[in-house]
Amino acid sequence: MLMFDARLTAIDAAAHTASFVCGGVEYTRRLAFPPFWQPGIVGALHLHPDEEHFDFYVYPDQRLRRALDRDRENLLWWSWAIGEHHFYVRAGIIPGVAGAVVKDECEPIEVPLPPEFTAFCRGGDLDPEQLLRAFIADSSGIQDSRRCPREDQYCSTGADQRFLAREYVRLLKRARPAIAATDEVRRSQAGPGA
Amino acid sequence: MKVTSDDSDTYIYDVQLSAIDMSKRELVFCWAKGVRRILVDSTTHWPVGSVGRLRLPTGVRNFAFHAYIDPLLRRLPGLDEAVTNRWGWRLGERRFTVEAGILPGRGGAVVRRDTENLSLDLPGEYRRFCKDCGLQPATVLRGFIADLCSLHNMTVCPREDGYSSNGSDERDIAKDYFRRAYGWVFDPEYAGHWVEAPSRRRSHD
Repeated sequence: MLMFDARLTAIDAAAHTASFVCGGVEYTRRLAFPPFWQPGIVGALHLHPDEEHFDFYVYPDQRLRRALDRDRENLLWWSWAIGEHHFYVRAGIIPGVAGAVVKDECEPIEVPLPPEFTAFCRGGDLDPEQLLRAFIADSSGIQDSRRCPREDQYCSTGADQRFLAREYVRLLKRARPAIAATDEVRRSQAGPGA
Repeated sequence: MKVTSDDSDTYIYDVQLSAIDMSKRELVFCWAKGVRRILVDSTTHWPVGSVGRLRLPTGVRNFAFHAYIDPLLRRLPGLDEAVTNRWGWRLGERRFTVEAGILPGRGGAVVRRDTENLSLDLPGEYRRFCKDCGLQPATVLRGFIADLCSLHNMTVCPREDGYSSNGSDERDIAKDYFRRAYGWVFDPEYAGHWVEAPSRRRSHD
């Protein structure tokens, strides 16, 4: 169960518990780690069905509040408010500081995946899309920060990976990739088939 | 057999290099409906008798000759399948089709296309980065896939899907990237159990 605008009301360091209030109802859960939150902070509270575990996502901007009644479900937009200012963000994204988000400007592309790549990914329990998205984010240095989250949810996997991915593209640029073997060029070579 | 004289990429198939006259720096190509002498400015590596496809020279573009890896290969236009975009070939008595534009390998060998399409959303940053590098976004992704999986598009056995590694340096970096980003899949304690073939696993160690 995901609840928005939950307020952390108290932390019991001795009992290792945290208490939240959301919609006038109090929820107390056991902490699995030393608490670093300060009572009074507001965020999204996710309570697991086992009634023991929970996740608490602190709003990057403490003025943020959900405006559930303004959601546009058909567009998958969530409505948020900071004071009197209302705005929409893609469902599932919690806005950053001052409601900042990087809007989704993606353009679709179809990539034909060879069976060797699919088997390679599946062998490591990876989704091919997950690996390609990571490579795309790393090569173009995309970082998804809490202060300004991205609607497309692209995110670099680390500094080393960014270096290696960029190094790869740099090599590719130098190598002038085997374009003669790509589908696009081959089609033009095919001609009328005489 | 139709030959266009403009700057299109049309090839003439089953052309034989019938003579090399180095005193005149001339190659003589002949095919069923014609003979063509072409001037060259350097030595050639094709032996006389090579058979392949020929693109005639035009104003600014040089000629191109792609010798068949198997000299017994011949085009069989009567077997072409326009709907599936496949061309007919014969090798002795054997007749078969291969995706249009591909020269079959030795013994007519090809790696059949067996791809699954994945729809990906490309962010603007990536598109701009590729553009700055003078590369197509799809080319980079295809290159990465081919290098990571060491896919080779060999003349002796070409791939219909066109995937081809760009070289050993690119393969090394692509695999380094994978190890750094997803090295945990090699961890023996990882519950996912890496199930790749042992020979390939060694290359990642």
